Amino acid sequence: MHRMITLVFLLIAGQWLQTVQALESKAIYQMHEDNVLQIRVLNRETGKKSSIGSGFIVGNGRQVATNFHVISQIVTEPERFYISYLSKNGHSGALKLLGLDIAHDLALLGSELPLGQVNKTSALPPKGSPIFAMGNPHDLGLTIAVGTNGGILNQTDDSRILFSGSLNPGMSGGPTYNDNGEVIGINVATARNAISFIVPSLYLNRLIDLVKKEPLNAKQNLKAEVTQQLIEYENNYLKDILDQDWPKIQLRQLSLPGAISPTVRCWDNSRKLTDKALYKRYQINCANQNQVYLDSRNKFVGNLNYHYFWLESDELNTVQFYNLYQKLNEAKIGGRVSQEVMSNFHCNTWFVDVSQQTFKTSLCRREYIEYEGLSDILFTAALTGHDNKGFFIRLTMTGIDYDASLPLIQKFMESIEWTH
Amino acid sequence: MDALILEINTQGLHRYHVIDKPRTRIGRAFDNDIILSEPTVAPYHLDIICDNDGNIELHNLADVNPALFNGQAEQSVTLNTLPININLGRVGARILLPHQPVADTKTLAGNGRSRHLFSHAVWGILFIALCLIASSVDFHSHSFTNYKWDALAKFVARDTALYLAGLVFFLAILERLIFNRWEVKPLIVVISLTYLMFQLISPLIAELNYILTSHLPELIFEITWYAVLMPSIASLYLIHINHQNRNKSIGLAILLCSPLIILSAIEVTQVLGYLDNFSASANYHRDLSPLNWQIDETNSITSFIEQAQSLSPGVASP
Repeated sequence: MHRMITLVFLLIAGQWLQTVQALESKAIYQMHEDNVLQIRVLNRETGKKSSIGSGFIVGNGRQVATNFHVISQIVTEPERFYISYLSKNGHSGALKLLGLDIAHDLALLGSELPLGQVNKTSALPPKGSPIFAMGNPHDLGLTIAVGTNGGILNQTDDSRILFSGSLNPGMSGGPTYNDNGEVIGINVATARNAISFIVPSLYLNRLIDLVKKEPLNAKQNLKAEVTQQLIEYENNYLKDILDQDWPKIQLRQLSLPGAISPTVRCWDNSRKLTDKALYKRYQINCANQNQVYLDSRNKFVGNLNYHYFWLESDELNTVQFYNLYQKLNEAKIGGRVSQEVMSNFHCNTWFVDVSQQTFKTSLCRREYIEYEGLSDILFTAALTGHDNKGFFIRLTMTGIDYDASLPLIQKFMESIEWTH
Repeated sequence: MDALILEINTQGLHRYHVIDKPRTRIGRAFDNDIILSEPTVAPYHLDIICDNDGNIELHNLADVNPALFNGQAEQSVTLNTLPININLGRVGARILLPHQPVADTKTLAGNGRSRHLFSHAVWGILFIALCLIASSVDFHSHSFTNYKWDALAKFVARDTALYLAGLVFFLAILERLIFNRWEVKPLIVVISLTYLMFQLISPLIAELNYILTSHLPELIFEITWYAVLMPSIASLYLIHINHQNRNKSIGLAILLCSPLIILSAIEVTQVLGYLDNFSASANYHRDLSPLNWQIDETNSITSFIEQAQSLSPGVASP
């Protein structure tokens, strides 16, 4: 009987809560439906959409905030595309690029004419608070998605808020409101299953301030600007990592750098071997979570991944062991890329003394053709000189200044300790 | 007059005729003194007239393919210095004195009766056994799990025995078709010996790669093995087992090995391409060795980083 009463109570309470939330989202939608725009990148020759996203009116009323990835074609192919907005009431017009914040995937656009009421920004509400994301999913019209604030994610270098709600393609660049209808962030990405990400509004405010002082001009080399911002961000990121004491993890006889930054997560990735296997292998993979969108061809850069791989056997003879060790000694960066986007790899190999053990190390770099100064780096080091023990590291960094990566590699190697 | 010798070149042993009459006529027709059944020889091609003073008159009788005397086209010529080289159409010949040296000859072994060292069955059995042992060792050294004997037997049977048998069969058929000879035993020995050499040299080359921290040994081996060693083995086989002359053997060996030469050239190009052509993956030196001998010095971390600073950027494809 008690269970029955509890169930009825919960059902009534649930209905009441739903009604309250529906009212809030309806009010916010009505409050902002004229301030949220569809952002379209149009082909100059056909006049048709190449990509769409969302944006909202900010700053002086003639400025629109959106994501960089929504309008990135303007940077890569300015001669082919231009930006336009479409409001809910059908008004449209051209927009020009005023400012970029590559690290936080933000762009500020400008119109010749006033566009409407400006969205006010606000600080992030407490964790668990309801928040409301608006945008144009799949070009189906303006909508609002209700969810909760999951807080700022330190694994994204504080550049993302976790939004427990559904963002869909086309909503990127749209505003996320608190229950007062103030912008707390900008929709940016989704991991599906109601796990989405929002850029905190404080980065938007910084961009608006920056544009007031120093707006981009039409003749500026946008790729150089992107490269400069990216290098600046990555260099600061690496400096922060280098300034910290690194936690250690023990992998068999080696003491190794653990999660070297709050943005890095390490996972055990040791594969289960069959009972017949005459060896043991252990693998730990560490990777950062704060990748930065570059463009539609290169996608994301700013990856920092390192893998530890330990191999040992008491049953294989030395020749067998080394055949296996060499077979497993391979490393790759990312997926397929074309030669229009990247240069060829250039590698060199050294034997290096690390904690009184000799490592065969290789360092490779390749360059981003359109972004001079950006490189992908692959560093590997394989332990040598043991009959039945093997260990190698694969460290990869993408979209980074080569020279800035070397201190990290140096500290990495210096942090490795052979324990007896 | 003294008798003379007419040496007529042929593919195998040369033919010899004694010229002991004052006048000898050569041609394709049956009423000639010496009949040359060859389509480029005229019915009546050459008259040879000898006198007692040792002079030899040569008269060309052919309208098509006139005879050449010591490389010269003459209608008639009188010579007294021997030997005289003559060309009658495609046929080469020489007029010699009986004491003058003729082409070397030797008695060749009959079909399948080669008396060469490698023609003994015991060598064939020994080398095949060694191949199977080498294959077993290879399987074992590349097995990283507990395996059963049947897996080893399957590998050896499929990857070595069947492969070698197939190769012997193919080459024996080819030999039969080209030379009308059937030399299975020497073929088994040569093929299994080549296989053994490859099995022994390959690990040494990998070791050399590691010692020098370079892909050059592998590259040189690839070129040498397929473009030099294999044609050499094939031409030696053709000379000693099939009794072909040297030039023909070398030409034929290159022809027979040309698929391997082309494949190795492609492979070498690919290896070079690791460095020159665009590749989405980094082709760094990943060889490892249980011996751990290297000629490169071992650097401190600081020295490594200093050297790494001068690592030149990757090159964009043109």
